[in-house]
Amino acid sequence: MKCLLCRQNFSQNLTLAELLHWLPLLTDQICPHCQQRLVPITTACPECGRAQTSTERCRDCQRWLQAQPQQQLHNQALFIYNALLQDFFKRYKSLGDYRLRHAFNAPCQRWFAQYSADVYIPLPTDEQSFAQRGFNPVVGLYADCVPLTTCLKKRPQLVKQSHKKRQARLQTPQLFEFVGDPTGLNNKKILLLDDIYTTGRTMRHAQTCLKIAVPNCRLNTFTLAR
Amino acid sequence: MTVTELSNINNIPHLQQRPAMTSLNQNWLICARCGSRQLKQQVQLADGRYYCPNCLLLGRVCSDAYLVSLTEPNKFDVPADLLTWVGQLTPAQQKAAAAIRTYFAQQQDHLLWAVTGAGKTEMLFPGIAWALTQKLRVGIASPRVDVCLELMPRVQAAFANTPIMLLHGRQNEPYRYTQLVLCTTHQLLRFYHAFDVLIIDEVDAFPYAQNPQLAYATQQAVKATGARLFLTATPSPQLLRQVRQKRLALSYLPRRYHGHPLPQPKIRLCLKWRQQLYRQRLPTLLQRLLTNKIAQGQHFLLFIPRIELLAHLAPLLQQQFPDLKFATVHAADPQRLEKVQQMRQQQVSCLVTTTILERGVTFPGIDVIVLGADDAVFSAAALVQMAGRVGRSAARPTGAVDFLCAGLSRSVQQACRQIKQVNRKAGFK
Repeated sequence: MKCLLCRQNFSQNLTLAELLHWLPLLTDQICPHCQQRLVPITTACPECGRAQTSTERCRDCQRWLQAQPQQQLHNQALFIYNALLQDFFKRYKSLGDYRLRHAFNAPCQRWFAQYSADVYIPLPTDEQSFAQRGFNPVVGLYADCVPLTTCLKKRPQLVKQSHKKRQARLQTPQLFEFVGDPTGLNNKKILLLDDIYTTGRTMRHAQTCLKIAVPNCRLNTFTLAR
Repeated sequence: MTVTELSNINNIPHLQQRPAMTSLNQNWLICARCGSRQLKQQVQLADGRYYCPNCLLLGRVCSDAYLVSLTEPNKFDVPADLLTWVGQLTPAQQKAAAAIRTYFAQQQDHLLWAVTGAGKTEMLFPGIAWALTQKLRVGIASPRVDVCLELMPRVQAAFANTPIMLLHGRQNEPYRYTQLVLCTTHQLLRFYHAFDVLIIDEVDAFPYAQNPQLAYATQQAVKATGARLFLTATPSPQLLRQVRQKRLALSYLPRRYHGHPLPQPKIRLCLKWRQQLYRQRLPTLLQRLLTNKIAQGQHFLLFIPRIELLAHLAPLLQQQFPDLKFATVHAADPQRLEKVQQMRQQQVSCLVTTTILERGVTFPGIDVIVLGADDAVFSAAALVQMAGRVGRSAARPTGAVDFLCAGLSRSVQQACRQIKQVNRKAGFK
């Protein structure tokens, strides 16, 4: 195997359990050396999934709660957004290397096996960046792990979230609208998927949009990095 | 560039356009920029287009894009006082320089096989000067950015009145159109039929030697009527095969410019050096060598086979030789260029380095120690190049090269044999 991140050859060390059980084998696309540089999140803020030593609500989320008391998020993230992931997202999203979408399939699949939901909804990209990239990065990341339902649409954006400063990001108005049929989602356990959680603005807008369209559903969110 | 962008610039004359990717058959397609073959199924985007992951760092090309280039008009103002280089070539160098010029004029590909420290750069100057006066566009490319940075001041000094554009991946200066271009071989991917004369230095070096895309780049960058000149001290078997097939002319220069032989490496047995380093002890032989060199105030390069060893070796050196001013360099080091500059200005007396400094750099009057010369990462060519760092200045044409190995590898034997052979060819015993 060639590591998708560092392009070095490596071989996956299989455990006895992996060899013996009858489920399909999860093949790692990342070499052990790069995997060491990934920091998994264990104890985290219950709302945004930020890695911290306590399981209390973090300061950002306390502020969110003051601003919007009835809106509680439940986000879980796999890895801390460090230099390795920064480089990964630069190559995947900015340069547009679509092959990299498989890099985190194995850890995501393990996670989804543990926390399964009824419906998985990826956050959309606006038409302009889809035309430019040729793909939706969130769909690319999770399409091979779980069946995805697309029912959100992103309004055209003048400036990308990642090009704004923190305050400007927080002041971004609602970016999403609900398209399609909400009846199928009633009383379902829904998991909203995104790639990175930074300020929480995007995720909370998506949550609001969904809650308005489908008032009675259980809603959790998941991101690869926090 | 996409079709819509293209329509805006269609009124520019001499514009050539070609599709960025062409389909070979049902399964494969070829990138026109880097020449790499891609499996369609692996490089398909969600919207059905294909892209080339190989030359992604230069900006992604997709199957619906076009590569656009301007035909080279060769309209240059050649300064009256072109060659400002004052220096004398030895008779052997003059002969090689004359050959270079002839092959440039005949538009023929040519391999110049000259030993390390033969004065290759100086030999180029008459040929380049001739090409520039003929209003030909000249490119000098090297696989290594260190080599480019070292060449730049020397070439600029030789052609003081000619503007030169230096191109490499870490450079932010905007592109200027110049008659003389100095760049890394990767940057050649940006050119299409641009050069009349293209000189590729150190053709056997990483990454050029292992990368067919870079060979393709040199083919694309030179005009169909252009001439390429390959320079090396250790030609690969492939290059020599091309010479035998008469696809490449060869000139050979076995003697250094100062007329002294290449220093013959000393093979020294140093058992279990790796284990000793891991146990935080300097191997005794290395310690003795270093003590001698430091006592004599000798500057030197210490080559090691792997980056990870730097972390073990550096604290040991600091502890054993607190007076020694040294720096460690490897390919991913962000301060690599500054450290090499410090060594050149003799602010540090020792560089501990991986193979990245094996070629193209000149530090006057240094010695070389290769720790673990029998390691698999050191090819025979690499060892010859490392030994060739020694005795390059006329002021100190000799020096010591020590290969410390735990066993004798084929590469070490080949390297020593090659040096011996070259010295014999040059007329030394």
